[in-house]
Amino acid sequence: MLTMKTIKFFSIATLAGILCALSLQAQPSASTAVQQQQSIPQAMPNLMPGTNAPELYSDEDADVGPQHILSLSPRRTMFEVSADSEYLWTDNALLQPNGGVESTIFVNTISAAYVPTPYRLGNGRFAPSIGISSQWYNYGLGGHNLSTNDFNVQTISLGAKYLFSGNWMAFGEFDYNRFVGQRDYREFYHDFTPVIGLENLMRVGDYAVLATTLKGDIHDSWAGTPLADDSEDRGDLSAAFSLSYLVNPKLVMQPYYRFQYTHYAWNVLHTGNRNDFLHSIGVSAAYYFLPNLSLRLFVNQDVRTSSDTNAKYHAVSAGGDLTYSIQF
Amino acid sequence: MKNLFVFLAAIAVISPLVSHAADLKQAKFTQIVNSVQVISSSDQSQRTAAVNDVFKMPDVIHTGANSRAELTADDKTVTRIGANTIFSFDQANRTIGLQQGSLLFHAPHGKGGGTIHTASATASVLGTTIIVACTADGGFKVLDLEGSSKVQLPDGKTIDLNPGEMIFILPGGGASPIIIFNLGDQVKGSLLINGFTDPLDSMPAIEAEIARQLAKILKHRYDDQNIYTYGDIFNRHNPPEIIIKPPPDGGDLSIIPVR
Repeated sequence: MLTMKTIKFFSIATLAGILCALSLQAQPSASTAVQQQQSIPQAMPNLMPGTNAPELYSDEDADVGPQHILSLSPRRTMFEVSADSEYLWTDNALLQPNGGVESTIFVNTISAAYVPTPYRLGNGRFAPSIGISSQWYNYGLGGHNLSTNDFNVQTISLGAKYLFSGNWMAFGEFDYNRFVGQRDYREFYHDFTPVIGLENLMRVGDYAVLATTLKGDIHDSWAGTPLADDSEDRGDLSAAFSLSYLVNPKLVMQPYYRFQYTHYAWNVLHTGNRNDFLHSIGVSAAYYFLPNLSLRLFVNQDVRTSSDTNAKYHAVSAGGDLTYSIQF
Repeated sequence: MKNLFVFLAAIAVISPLVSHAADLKQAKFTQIVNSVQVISSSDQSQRTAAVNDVFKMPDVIHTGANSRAELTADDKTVTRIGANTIFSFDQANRTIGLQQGSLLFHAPHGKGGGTIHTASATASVLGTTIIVACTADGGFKVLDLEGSSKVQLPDGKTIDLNPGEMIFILPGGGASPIIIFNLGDQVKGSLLINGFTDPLDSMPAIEAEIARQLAKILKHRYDDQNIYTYGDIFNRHNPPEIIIKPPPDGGDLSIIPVR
């Protein structure tokens, strides 16, 4: 005798069987499915940086290679505004031959520039720029008498870069720098500085780039010193090498070395010219919270020899800076 | 029918970039991997391709699974063909017909570049290395490895691509936005680049573009907004050196910047 429970079970099973049969009937054959797939427009997948572009057919990536998306729809921008706040310690704030005066320095910078996305020109790309910046240098936070020498730097810069094939880049710049004391905003130094240079980028392994930069400049200066207005006229030649290594998607390490030769029209006592040889070596680590917001920590050592014994010095500095920039 | 119309429309577009170039109607097999068949257009007979064979229009190349071929023209234009690809030279000047599969195309500078037609879109290049993939039902993809290229979409719109940029069309669908892809990863994983004995002539140029893109990755700059001077680390992050001189008369200190 069938119980009520058994009847209920068979009823459900029968209904499920009918639904299953209807479902199978509704499924197309394999060839029909292919035809439908070809005729129905495929929806654009959600393309996101960090994912891969879809394959058009199976095993496409084997021949073409994987297409890991870095960014979508590059857009042209015209301007960049940035702000940087840096705090550092140095064991020789006065750059004296025998060292001695430690200090911390708080440097805040804001800048705005017209920097359009590089234009195609010939076989390369041309990037003009014009910008202004203002920096505030404050010594000895935490207290000592160097803070009486706090000053500001105001800069107007006009430049251009040209990227050749093979990752060589030539650049030229013309800067006007004006220094004023923070106590009375009196100008105590300015210079006109034309700069030219050449830079090469070379990939080292999968995640590192070696940058080699050769640069020359001339400082046509005025200094409000008791000795002479032109006592800081000079020319620099430098060679810099930096290796930027991507530790992870947000962290970049950058060891660097720079040699700079400087010829001064006058020595410290204004009795003849002088030649300086500056070696800078250091390492920095930059962490990018966002593409436009980064925190950088660094350690740097400077050793300068000179034909003028009063101009020799040795300094170690360490610090960090927070940078934010926007492009539009 | 729609695809046929698109194909005919694409055929009608002949890039002005290639109007004065030497023609590309034949090339020699310079490398072959596994099974590569040449189908004669006259009698539909098939023969297995061999290195140094000359491939001519209007014959068709059909590669098998896990198979590849490299063709080199007299003017050093290189075409590498991927697996399961159907390929031929086109009647039009310096034009390739890609029915399905993938190919890498490189024309040396000054040789007139070339145009690759597929069922849905056309890619034109001049002294550039690109990869094109397509399906018979209108799927299309083009990747620019070095130099610049021009893509003609089914709607007639033209898009310029720079190194490290790509665009694709899914079968029956619209075009994707321009995508900046990781060129180093793509090149490393591509058999069209690494699956042959001899390296591409344009490999140094591709390596240079990889380095340039990696520099941007390191700076978290994917949007091509600036050419960065890496040496600027010394100017961007370090304060100007300051010499503070005690004046002879014992007055205020003189602060002298030394940048």
